Amino acid sequence: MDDSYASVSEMSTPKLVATQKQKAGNKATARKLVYPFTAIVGQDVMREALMLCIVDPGLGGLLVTGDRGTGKSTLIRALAALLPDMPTVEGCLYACHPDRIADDCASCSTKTASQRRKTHLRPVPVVDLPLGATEDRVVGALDLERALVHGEKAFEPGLLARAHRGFLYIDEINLLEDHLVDVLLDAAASGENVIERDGLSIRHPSRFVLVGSGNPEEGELRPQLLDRFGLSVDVRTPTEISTRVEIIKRRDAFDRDPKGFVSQYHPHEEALRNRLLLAQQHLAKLSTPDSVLEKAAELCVALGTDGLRGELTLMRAARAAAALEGAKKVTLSHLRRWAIPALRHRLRRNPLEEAGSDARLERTLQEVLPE
Amino acid sequence: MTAMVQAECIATLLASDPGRFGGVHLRASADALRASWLDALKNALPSGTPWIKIPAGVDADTLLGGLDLAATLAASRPVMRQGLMARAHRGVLVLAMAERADAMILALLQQVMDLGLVNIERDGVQEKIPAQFSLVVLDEGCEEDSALPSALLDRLPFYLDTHSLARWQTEGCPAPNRFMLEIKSSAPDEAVKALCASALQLGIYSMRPPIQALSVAQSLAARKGHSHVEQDDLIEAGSLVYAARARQLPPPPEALAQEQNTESQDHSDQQEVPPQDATPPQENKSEDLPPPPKTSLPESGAEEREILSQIVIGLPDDLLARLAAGMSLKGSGKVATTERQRKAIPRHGRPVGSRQGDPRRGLPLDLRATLRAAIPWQKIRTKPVTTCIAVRSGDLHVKRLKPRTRSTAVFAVDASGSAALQRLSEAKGAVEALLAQCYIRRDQVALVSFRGAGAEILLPPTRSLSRVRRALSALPGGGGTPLARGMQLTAQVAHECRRKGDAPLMIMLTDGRGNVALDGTGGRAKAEQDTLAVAQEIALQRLPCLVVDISPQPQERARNLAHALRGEYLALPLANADMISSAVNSRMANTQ
Repeated sequence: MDDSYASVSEMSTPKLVATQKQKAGNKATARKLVYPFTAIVGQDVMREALMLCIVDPGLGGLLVTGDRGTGKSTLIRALAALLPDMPTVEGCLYACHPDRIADDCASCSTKTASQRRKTHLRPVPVVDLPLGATEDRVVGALDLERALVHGEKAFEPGLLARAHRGFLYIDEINLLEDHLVDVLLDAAASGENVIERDGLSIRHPSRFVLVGSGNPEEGELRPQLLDRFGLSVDVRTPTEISTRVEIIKRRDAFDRDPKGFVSQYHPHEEALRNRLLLAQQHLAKLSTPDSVLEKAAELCVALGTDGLRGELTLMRAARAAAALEGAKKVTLSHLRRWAIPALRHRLRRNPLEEAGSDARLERTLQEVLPE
Repeated sequence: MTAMVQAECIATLLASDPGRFGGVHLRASADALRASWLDALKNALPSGTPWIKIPAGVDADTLLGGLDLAATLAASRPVMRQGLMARAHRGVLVLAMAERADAMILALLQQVMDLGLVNIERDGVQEKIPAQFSLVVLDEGCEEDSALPSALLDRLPFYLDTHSLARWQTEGCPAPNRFMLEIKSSAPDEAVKALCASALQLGIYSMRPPIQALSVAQSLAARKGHSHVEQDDLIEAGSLVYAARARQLPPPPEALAQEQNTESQDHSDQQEVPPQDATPPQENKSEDLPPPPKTSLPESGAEEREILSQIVIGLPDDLLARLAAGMSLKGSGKVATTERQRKAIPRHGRPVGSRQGDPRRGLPLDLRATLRAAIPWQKIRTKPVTTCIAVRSGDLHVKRLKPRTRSTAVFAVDASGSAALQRLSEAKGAVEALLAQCYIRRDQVALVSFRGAGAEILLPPTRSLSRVRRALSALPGGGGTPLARGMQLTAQVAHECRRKGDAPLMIMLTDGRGNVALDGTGGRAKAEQDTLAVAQEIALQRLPCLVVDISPQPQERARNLAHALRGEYLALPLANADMISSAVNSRMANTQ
């Protein structure tokens, strides 16, 4: 995704211009082949949860917690190569969709109607928010290089701009500094990023799928942040010997010959990409029977989840799952499968409950939706 | 494999291809022995290999790199300053006093180790710089369990301690022989399977160790000129990588074979367990205990068992002893990290960096950071004639503060029954002695006593000795034992302390026998039920806890109580004030 803006033509508005630099030299050396998504063994729930987020980006993202060394990061970083390209307005710094240009897009508002119609395909961005990132790089700030070299004010979009319409991945999210969490929550809630700094006053759309991974043992997440995530998945190391052997063999094969390994999985990636595209189109045509809606509501009432977000997310997840299967309508089995990931992080914690909230969830699930 | 070879072998492997292996966890005090091993490693490295030391108290900026202000101004264009991790590319990075390192610093190291590159998004610059290094973690912690987060240790294939270094030394410090690695050997399936199986048998569940072991085995094979990985490579690699991580002893070979037979018989019953995928794993939150797998190896060959038993033979004796005793091993460190992290924005303490922000909101201005932020923009700012540097509000930086963590020892004293007077007077003595000892650390103590139908806070958290003497001068004793209520009140006091940013430690002076329930009614059964419920509640809040049983014959009940509290149990029959206070004092130093 580093070159997702490579085609942006330099604009030459004299006073205020926005840029996205190309640092080809450094990036070429740093670029590494990523382990293919389809080559990952096991971790079905996490993998499908990510696929649901691709089918329906409005789902609200995914939080992955659990054992170390389970390939959390590998799976998420493998997304970039898997995702289908997306149509954008040519030259738009914020990657607006040609049919749905955002009102607040600072870049498109300067374009004529015919310029806005020019379409350009770009890879869907998967942006890594590294630990130690500073606020200016996250929200965007003046372009330092242009200020120093040319003495001009130019806005350089930050990570929130780059992640628009794509994915924003935060590894070790529980270690993210508080003031960055604030910025993130604000953008996620409003869908736009507002910069007031150095005499700049810029707003641009910033809608992204938030993907976080972390270990709650190393620090709890703020409830507001927790609630932002659509789905939450807890991963465990596989204990099946055959699975473990397969994981290690593939990892070894990849380390030995990354290029050959990636090309070996190319057909699988292609097939999955097509399946995801079909599911995206299929999603709108799906019907949701009232009986399923009622059951979802019943389940949330029985669990006492706060607010409506749990119910909405559960329905969206079930719909996306049905779309992915190519089913005609959403069924109770979709609901059953995604109830725990959609609701487990929204339950009020009961301090006297030793087994954790998952046990309670499963009990209630069995009562409301017996198999 | 002997320890002599181990220390030498690790140095050799690290030196053969710096950056290929994640690194080594070196658990030893800073003495000549450790220095000589480090020297040996340094000398074995190919000339020109980076050897970068991370200074104590390093900040994220130094580690990651960022904008070089002086060079930027001189060149009139942004110039990057390389961070320590980037400079250590294809070399060795040494983290000294790792047990004191900040959780954030350790997390940064982990993230870069995973990616093999530094991803910088700081101070107006964005860069991706390759950084593959081998990390040498110098851990001088002297507790039995390492204070380092298990997530970091998981990424380090090798482990060395004083014992293995000492044995290496007595063998006359052979210089690690250097060799060039050229790995042509692919791993046969059986080799991978043997490594996976033996990891599980030793209770190692993370996927990283077997991956590391395979990589080590390949290097060893290459070193010996084998065309593919052979059995002795696997054994050696297994001993190197698994030894320090083993958490259980595998069943002896005969038992294994037997179990396999019985296994195949009741195979059908075993399969009734619901498949793993359909029900996402629940409960069992503790991270190193996924549901124990069936320990038998499916169709395990004689070769695998041979490899496993060879690895077990290679395990150091003291480790075997500890495993046999069922003790947990290194790499917990969870509590420490948790405590280091969860904090509201502090308004006092020592500075730990700065962030953009307005000092008028109550945080101190960081002048240096503010000027740093302002200077690069001078060219595009029209300056008023009188000032040298034009500073805008967006430049203002405030200091981020980390409050000094004080410890608070919250004593809960069972003042009921006949032992009351003795317990109370010892507790009082301990409190006084503690205060005298930890005056310098500015620690506090509090005291809760419970007797009759209820509990009371005799002494709210304080540092004042005279206040302690006044409050504790006349302590009533006798009556029933409302243990549950006493624990509840103690936890409440401890919780308050934590909210203020202090690190509490609860010390229960009790024999663990309650006979008054939460509602004040008598009856042992109900009282014990309540006690257990309250203990579980406290355990969930992860309040550090120490149960001290000072009755002449220590009771099983007190031990069970400590277990329910997920705390520590200490039997001190006939303890006096000094013994209690020194036990508590050493643990308070740890909670910091």
